[in-house]
Amino acid sequence: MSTGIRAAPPPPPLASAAPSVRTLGDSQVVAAYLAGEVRAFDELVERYQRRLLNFVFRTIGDRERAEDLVQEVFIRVHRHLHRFDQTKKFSTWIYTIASNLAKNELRNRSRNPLVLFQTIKKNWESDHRPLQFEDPHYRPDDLFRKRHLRELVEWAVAQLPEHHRIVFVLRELEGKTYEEIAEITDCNLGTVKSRLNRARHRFAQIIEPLVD
Amino acid sequence: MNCSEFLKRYSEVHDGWLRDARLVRRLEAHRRNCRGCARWVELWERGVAALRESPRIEPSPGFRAGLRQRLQSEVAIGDPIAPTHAGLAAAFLLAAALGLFLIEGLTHPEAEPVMAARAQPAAFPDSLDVVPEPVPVDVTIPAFGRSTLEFHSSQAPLGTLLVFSR
Repeated sequence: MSTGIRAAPPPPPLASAAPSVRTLGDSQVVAAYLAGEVRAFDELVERYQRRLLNFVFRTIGDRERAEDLVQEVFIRVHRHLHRFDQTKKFSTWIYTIASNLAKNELRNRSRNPLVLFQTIKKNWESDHRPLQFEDPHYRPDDLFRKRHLRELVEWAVAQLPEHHRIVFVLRELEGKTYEEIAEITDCNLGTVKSRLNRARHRFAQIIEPLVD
Repeated sequence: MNCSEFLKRYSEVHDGWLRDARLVRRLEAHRRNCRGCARWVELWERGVAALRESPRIEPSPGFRAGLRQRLQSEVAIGDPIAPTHAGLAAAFLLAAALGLFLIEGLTHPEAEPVMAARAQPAAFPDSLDVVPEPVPVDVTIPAFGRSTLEFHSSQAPLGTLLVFSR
């Protein structure tokens, strides 16, 4: 007899996902998990952990905190997956969760100047920069210039205002469509276009005096 | 076509959003003829290309273990209390409170006049000089030691409480 109370789903094993799940689309993986295939959750983690980590990292600029937030994204997915409307795109839903958590993080940080200062300081320490494996065919001055440009543009993204930065990263780095960005950021298409345009302008303005 | 219009619309051309072929041609023509706008497009495209070349960060080795741990504790705690459970708990607490209230009322009927007397509003002193003396109350709050707590309204003191530690 059904009591009407939904039991909490068992914790997913987070081991390697069954091979059959790997060939499925996101919505089918979600359906498989809801049907009791607990390993399907691993597949969702596998598919999205890097993408979300890079998206959140680019948005908030703190790697450690980005990992915490991405874990939180998966916890929320696990908690609310049974409520996910399967007619919608899963990637948009999970990016919406990540985007909201990143926005909350930035908002909390702006209220706490000490945290903001610590984050800026930490990000300037070279230990926290990702390792880069350079192409050995480039000459050292090319390598230097290329690396310098990368650091410059990464810094330029961090200078964009929060709501411009999220739209910019979603479009330029995550390759999301205007419609997806509108859904993720809960804005209309006109706002997305305008924010993206402004973000691109600002980005070009920031790097202009520093390039060449 | 001027630079301001170009800068406003070119982003849409770049993303394939603009369907008006004539407008697209005009924008492209402006780009060819305007050094400033051409420079802006070049900077943006070059910057984004460099960004895309930046190495993507990888989750740390402890990421999955940390996630597993957090998921396990999430399941151990369980889902947030279901509304049915919350409703039952609230109803039970309400019934218990009502029962205690009734028992107290039936077993101590003499309490009623006191309550009725208390219900009467106290006469407000005519002068602030007639505020009653504080009565020491012996309670043990080590953190306070011996303290005097005064209660004030916006216009006059309401009372004073002395707190002593043993």
